[in-house]
Amino acid sequence: MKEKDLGLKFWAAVAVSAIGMGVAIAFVAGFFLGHFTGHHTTTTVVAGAPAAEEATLEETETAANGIKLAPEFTSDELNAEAGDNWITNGGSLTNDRYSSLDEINTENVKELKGDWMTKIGQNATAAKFSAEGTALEYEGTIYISDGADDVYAIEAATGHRLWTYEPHLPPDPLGEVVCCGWDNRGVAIGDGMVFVSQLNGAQVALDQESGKVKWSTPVVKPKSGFSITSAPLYYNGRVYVGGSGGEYGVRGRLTALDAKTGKVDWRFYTTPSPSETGGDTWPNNGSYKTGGASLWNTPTVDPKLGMLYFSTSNASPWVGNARKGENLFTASIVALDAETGEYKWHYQQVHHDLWDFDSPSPTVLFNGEMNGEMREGVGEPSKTGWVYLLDRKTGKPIYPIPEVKVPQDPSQNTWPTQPEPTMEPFSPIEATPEAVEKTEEAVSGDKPKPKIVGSKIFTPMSSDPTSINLVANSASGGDNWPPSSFDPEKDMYFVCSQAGALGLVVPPKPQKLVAGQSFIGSDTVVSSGFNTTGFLTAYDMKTGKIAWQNEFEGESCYSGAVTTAGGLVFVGHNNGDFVAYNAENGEELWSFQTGAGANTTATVFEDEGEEKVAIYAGGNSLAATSHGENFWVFSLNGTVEPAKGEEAEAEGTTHAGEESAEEGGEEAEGAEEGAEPEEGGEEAEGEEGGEEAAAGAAPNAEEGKEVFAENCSTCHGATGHGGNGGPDLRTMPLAKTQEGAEQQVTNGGGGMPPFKGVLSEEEISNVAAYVVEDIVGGK
Amino acid sequence: MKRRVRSISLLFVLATVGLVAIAGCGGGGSSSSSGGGSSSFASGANAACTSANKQIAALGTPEQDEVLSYLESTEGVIEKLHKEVAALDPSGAAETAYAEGLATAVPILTDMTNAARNENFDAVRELSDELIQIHLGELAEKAELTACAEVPTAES
Repeated sequence: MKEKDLGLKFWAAVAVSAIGMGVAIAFVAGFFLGHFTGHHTTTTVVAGAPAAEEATLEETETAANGIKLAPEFTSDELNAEAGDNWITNGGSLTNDRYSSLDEINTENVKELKGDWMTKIGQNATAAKFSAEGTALEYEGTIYISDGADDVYAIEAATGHRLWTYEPHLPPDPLGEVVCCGWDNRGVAIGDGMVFVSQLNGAQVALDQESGKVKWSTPVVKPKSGFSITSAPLYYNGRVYVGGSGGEYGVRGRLTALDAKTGKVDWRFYTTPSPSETGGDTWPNNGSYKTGGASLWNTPTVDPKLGMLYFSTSNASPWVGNARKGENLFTASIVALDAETGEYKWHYQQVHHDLWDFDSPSPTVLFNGEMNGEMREGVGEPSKTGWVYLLDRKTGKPIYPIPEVKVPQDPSQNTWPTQPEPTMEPFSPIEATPEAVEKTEEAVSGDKPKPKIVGSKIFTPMSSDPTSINLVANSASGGDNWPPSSFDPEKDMYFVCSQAGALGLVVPPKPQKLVAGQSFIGSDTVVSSGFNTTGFLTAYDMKTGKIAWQNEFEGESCYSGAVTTAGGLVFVGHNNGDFVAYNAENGEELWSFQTGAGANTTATVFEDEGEEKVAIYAGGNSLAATSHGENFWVFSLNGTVEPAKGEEAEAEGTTHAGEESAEEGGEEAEGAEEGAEPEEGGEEAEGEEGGEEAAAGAAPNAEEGKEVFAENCSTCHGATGHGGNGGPDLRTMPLAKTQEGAEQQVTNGGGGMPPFKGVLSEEEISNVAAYVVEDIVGGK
Repeated sequence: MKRRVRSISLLFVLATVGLVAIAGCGGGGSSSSSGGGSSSFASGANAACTSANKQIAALGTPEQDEVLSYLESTEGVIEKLHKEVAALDPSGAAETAYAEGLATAVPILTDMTNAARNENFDAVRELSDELIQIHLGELAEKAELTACAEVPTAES
């Protein structure tokens, strides 16, 4: 108390004297200063005016008077197909991401060009951030969030920013309990408000006209491992909010809040207590309290049935020897009464999950002919590689999903059978040779080097560290969060995915939970990373068969799909290309370089009598794509050409292709795998690093390689160019100097755990040298 | 120890916000509230500032757990002041500069409030630096807006 009083007097005196002198006093030359350069300004490239144009918030505040406020949308309005407006994350309550607009079609899409491109996400360009936000559009205003939970209101016709909300989330300790990287998948609108779910567990309502906070409610506790990455859903006067943290031992939940007040209306826990339905699927050791089943994405609602649907994450921890049972409702599709939160039914996609087989992609509602009948379905494309399509009234499979006997390991309490859908998988269900090869690269420095055994789905994880079962999909494959799209006119369904694989070693003793720390259950996790072959798969829902499938060699499909009545499927690509495919046959009809990893799903709307398509190209941490700040709107009358290096240029930002070419365009081809070593060196130009590695205590990069393979490659990939959750180290400023790399490895931060106490000082020094000299320096 | 540093830093910020952002944001002027400008803008702005100063002074000096509500209140007062001053239609260059400075201060205060709401006090401190660098007090003095250059004394 005394300290506090002294502090007040002292600092108040300083402040007063400084003010009296009329001078500016600088408090801190801190970390944030660089990030906030350019605060409240926008750079917009408009059609016919390729030069950048500056607009201040003051100017755009005046324009904010023109924002049309969203009403308390009725269920019919929310349930209607997206057309003139795109008012929910999934286009409508069905999450089908289908637009009824057809002005842009298979014949003319080749004419599509940028109406404008504006810069957003200036606070979210560091490697830990991912741009995964789907934009909403309502009556001429676009609402989009970035990985820092900043929200922007943008004039759809011009790209002028009308307001910005910046929550200024604290980087730590939050940064250590957000899996996997900082991202935000979008906002909701309704009743004159914009609703944003924040990584720190707060659900916030913003005034739609000004972007100012109307209410803020903490719905999960971030320091205990919770975060929120999903977009909320506005429906019937409530805001429905998920929450993630299945890698940190949380108890998943869906929270319904009163949209007007932010008061929590009800909460549904996705791991039931012993007295609740499903409670008997957990052992009597309290493990349900840390059992995972979090919600990565936005629910769907069938207003007619009054049911709300969502899919849940993996069981926690991944290693299952301390949680005997099926472990409901992990890795499940769950139906609730939308009004009361009362349990209706569930379908568990994976029993007693041991493989991180969660279901982060949002559920989708289907109306159409399926398996010979007109059906009303709900489905989800999972990280297993299968689509689980169910009757949405009963939760029973529309196409058969038999329970199949699977290999057993009693020590892991494996469940005897697993559901295996008869709809063809969209990603291979056995680890591919490519995935095995990439994983072998990742462990090449291990001594002794373990054998990597490519395995079929549901093979138990290894207990033997010398022979690791690499299981198909898991954390690195299948469909992760990227949303799928259903075209009700064609009765076709489109899924983005990849063919990664993951393995781990089950330790002799279960991991102990420490609040706020990773709770996977194993210290040894190996992975192919995300840069394995990707797929865009189109299903004919009448038959459940694959109508066509596009393969993207060495590139995950990590953005999601959007379809239109114009017969198009829009998909963003890791290399920055935004592509339109013919929905009938998968033919590529149009491609446009956006200037950064295009890892978000598109938005389609009508403005000024024209159909327009929007996408945020901001890069992705997990997919290790180039970061950027480019928010694009396209139309047939657009004149803005694809991004080239100069247009995409911004301080502190890397863009698609910069790693392999000076100019944009074709650049990104080399970004993932093939970037030439000397390019890494060029990136380091001007930095003080490199040679410092050779000074002092002579760290040994060769030995550091082994440390890297054992401790870092799972996240950063075998080459350090990015992988499962870890960024491409060549893009990290701290990785350019011995001192910086040591500091980062020692203290962690930005989503990376500290290795102080885990590695010796010598090991830290060696691994830093390997990063600086070999990965960044390109030796 | 960490807690103490944070406490000191926070109080520094609060002192700065209370004394800088509010009553004309940091000029050195006297405590006179009679106003020095000759135009109707000056008299209107000084009246608005006098009112704002009183409201800010009434907020007192917040304890650490009152930071958010303090900043929210402050933001509201300054936003109202900004609207009132902007509506006066400044004519001269100095008056316009002051009005523009006030307009610049409002979103920074909003950001400070947001940062405090999310318990990022480093960001609050950083933003307070931005606020100070607007030199609103000097702008007020140049526009001869004495009440707007005034530093209010927090009521205890």
